[in-house]
Amino acid sequence: MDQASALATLAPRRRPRRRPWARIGRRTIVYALLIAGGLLMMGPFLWMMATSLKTRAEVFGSPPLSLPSGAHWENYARMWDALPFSTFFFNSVKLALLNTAGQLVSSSMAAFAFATLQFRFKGPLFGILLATLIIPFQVVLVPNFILYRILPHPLSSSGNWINTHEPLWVGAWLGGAFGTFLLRQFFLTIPRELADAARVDGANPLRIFWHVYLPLARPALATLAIFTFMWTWNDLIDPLIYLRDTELQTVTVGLSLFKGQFVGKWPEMMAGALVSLLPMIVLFVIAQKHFVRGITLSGLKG
Amino acid sequence: MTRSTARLGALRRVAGIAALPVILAFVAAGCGQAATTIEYSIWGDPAELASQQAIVDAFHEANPSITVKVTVSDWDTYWDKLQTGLAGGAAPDVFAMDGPLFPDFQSRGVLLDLKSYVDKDKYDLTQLADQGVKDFTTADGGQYGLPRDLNVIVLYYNKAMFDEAGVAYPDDTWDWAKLVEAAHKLTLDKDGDGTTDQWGLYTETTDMENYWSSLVWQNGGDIIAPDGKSTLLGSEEAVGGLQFLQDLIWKEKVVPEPALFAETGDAFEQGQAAMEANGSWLVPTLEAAGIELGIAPLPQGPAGRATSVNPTGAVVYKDSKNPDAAWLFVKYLASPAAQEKLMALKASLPVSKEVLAGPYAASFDGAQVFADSLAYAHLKPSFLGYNEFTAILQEELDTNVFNEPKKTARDAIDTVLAELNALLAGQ
Amino acid sequence: MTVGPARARRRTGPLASEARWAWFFLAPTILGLVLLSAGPILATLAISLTSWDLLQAPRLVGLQNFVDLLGDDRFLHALRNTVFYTVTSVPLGLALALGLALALNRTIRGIAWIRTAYFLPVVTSTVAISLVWAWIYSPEQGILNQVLGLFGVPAQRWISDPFWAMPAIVVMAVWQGLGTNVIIFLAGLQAIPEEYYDAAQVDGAGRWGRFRHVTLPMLTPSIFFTGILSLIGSFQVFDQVYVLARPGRPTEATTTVVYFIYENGFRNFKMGYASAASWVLFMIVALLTALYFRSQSRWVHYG
Repeated sequence: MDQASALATLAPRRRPRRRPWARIGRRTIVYALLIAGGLLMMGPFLWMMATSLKTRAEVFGSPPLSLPSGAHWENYARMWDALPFSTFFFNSVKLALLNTAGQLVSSSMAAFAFATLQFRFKGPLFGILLATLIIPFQVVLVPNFILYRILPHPLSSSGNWINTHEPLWVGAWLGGAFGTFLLRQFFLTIPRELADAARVDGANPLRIFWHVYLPLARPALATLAIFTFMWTWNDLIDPLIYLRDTELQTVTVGLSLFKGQFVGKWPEMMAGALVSLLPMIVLFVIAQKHFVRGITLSGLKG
Repeated sequence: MTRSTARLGALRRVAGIAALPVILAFVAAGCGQAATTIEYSIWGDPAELASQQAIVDAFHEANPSITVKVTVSDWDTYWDKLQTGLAGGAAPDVFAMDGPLFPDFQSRGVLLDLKSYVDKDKYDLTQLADQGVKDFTTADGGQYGLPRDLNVIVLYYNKAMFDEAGVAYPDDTWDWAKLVEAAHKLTLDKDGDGTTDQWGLYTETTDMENYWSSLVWQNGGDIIAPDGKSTLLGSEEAVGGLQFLQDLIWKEKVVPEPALFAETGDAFEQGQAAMEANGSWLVPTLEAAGIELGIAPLPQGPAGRATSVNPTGAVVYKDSKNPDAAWLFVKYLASPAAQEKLMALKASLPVSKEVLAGPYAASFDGAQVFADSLAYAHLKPSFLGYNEFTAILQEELDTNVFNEPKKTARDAIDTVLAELNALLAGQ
Repeated sequence: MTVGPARARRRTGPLASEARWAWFFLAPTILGLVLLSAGPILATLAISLTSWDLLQAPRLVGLQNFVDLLGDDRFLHALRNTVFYTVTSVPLGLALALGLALALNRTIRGIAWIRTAYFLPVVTSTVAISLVWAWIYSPEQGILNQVLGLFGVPAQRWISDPFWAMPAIVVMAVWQGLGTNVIIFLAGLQAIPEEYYDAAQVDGAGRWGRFRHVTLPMLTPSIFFTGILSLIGSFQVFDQVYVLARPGRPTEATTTVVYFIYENGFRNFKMGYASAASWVLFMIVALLTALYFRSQSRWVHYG
């Protein structure tokens, strides 16, 4: 280290004349890069919107960086008529809600047990649960499909669970590694004194769970709810495998039909993509805080 | 009458009226005329649903106790749904089956043998086009479906573009040389920017039906041995047919490379090609695109005329809960009444010989070409292992012959010949 | 509850009843583990030893499926593509996210908007994203080729091009996954105490030195976490490949292991074969994860 920098560290307040420019310059570059990066991130979405408002002729004729001549909303109408999107939306919402409820219930219960109760096999069981976090669920696709094919279903045309909605949400009520892990972390931060006080009052674990832990865990529960909703909404492979009837299909599958059936109809396709994104965008804008918290919560404790 | 007896009388009247439907139901069940609903699933342009519904409604009029629920999906989705249904144990009662895919499905035991129905009704199979029936008959005499329509490959052309370039319309004198010559005159760089804006000929390359199998036959070659145990693609003639297509794309440059239109779809439909070698099913789509459409037979090759004919059939699910109703509907689809309605769709050729010989040829401009082509059409190969065979073959052809000219057709075929033969021998 | 001598601890009592409650709370989870996640892992192995089309009875074939996998070009291509995807998307995604997080780690006005912009792709479905990028990558009218054309770069075929197809998908995936990793890194960065930086500065470290000796080591837990998330996620790549290949199926340049499982198990009726592929996937992920966790002690600094 040379004399100049040694002197500089000793007397940080003395600024050589060059410094202010350098700092502003650096700041500007960072700002510029961030904004450019932000545009790059938003770019495809803006492009999607622009394309959805053009006519098909415009899409193929005029240079692509041009804006639409007018807002051709009929593309949206055509898209909505081409496929039964109202049915798809209804199904996606239904499944997302069912999954979210299921995860909230089963994961919080399991998290509570792991965080507050003592029992044999606690360690190994938690280990197994964590291990499933690492397994890609696609590994067990085949056995799950076979299981659902064996299970009898009184209301299904095939007599089993295939081609019904059940395989797409019942599993959520049977626990989940991510939710359990997330909530356990959170429960561990709740002071034991609260639970002990309740126990002294004669409360059993269920009452402690319901009256003490759950109310305090609202932020974590909100986060889990949002993530589960998002994952269910965006799931493609499960509806693809289990569902046959169009009336049962979800938005993701419906959207993928666009790429097979409507080759070359870019405006309608972009309209469909945009419309399917809207619920998640709205959810995100409202609940941004929870998204961010969820990720940091799970990340910090490693 | 006192109030209580009046009420009793009213009660009896109500009970009597209420009993009526119950009695009727019993009677109906006893007569075996209970209302049944069967599911009929097909691939096609989902916009066709209305036309298909018309056919279904006509059947319902003739058979009031049977209601048919029809669903139309695009080709990819159709097979996805069918597979899921079959794997899950619930498939439509009646569904459409592609000729070449029939052996694989039949061998899995998911189709109902209709032979007993054919015999019981003394149904005359010869009233239907022979190529159609053959595709759904098994070696042991089983009849697992009836053909519903046929599709052939023809040469579509855009009359406006031909007029503009001053080229005479294609006719039955055309051969390969004439095709290339005309295509050159019709391949234009309209705005002078160095890229072709209008192509002489557009065709797909990912399925033999449209259109390289016809080229192979026109050159005197063939694809599968009659016993289905080996492939004949190794012959000089067969390779010559494939080479001609590669040359059209990469040497003559009158056919666009597949990647150019992979995303956007049919170049001819979009007015960027003057001719298209493709199937009869495209007529409604091309007409809707507003093109001045002309239809001509495929140009003949060195060994003569050839085109591909591919039947689509209606088959019945083995575990259908209403096999009798399903048979009635399958039979109806092949009947002249339904065939004339299908004919009105302009999307395929009828299988009923009566309709083919009768009203079909005059039903629309170009139908005559379709009808005539049946005389020299070869049946699209249909054999066990079809899917795997075409997957291996097309992967090689697409990657190295059509998408990019990395190998000659001869080298590409030589690469996969052994594998293909082993696959067929093992079936 | 009686208070007896310390030795005579009752087996029943608060501890035992607590255990009973635990099983109550855990009943759904245990059922799920047995039926849907942990149990089926063994079932996958069992099924992989058979040839089964679900319509007829399963036929025991031993290790034949695995032998066939080794000779199956399509599976080998799927493996190659998946590995390529992992090896490129994970480091690229992490490096970019780290850079972004460093840049964003200051209180700037409009940070919320910027954060929204970066996080939006994360919450949107891969299907919709794939459709948009299919359009961006479109050879004739896609905006990418048009923009490149302004700089004289010839139009590439991107998705249909065997060489560029997988990299194109990687770019799209990295774009989508940036938000999550940026958030995690930001949290990690904000958790680094100021004193460390001050101490480093006193020791004479410049910007780069502070980064190397303070920031990076303190961030290793976050890097570890995002790394494992990305690693596991990358082996599951399916949605993009499925959507982009339609109509039709992925070519040898874009097929992935999960697509291979999907196609063989649910389109070709080859449950045994698909299970064998699933098992191979499982082994690879398990091995990599184990190695990754083992390496923790080498490079991750906690606290």
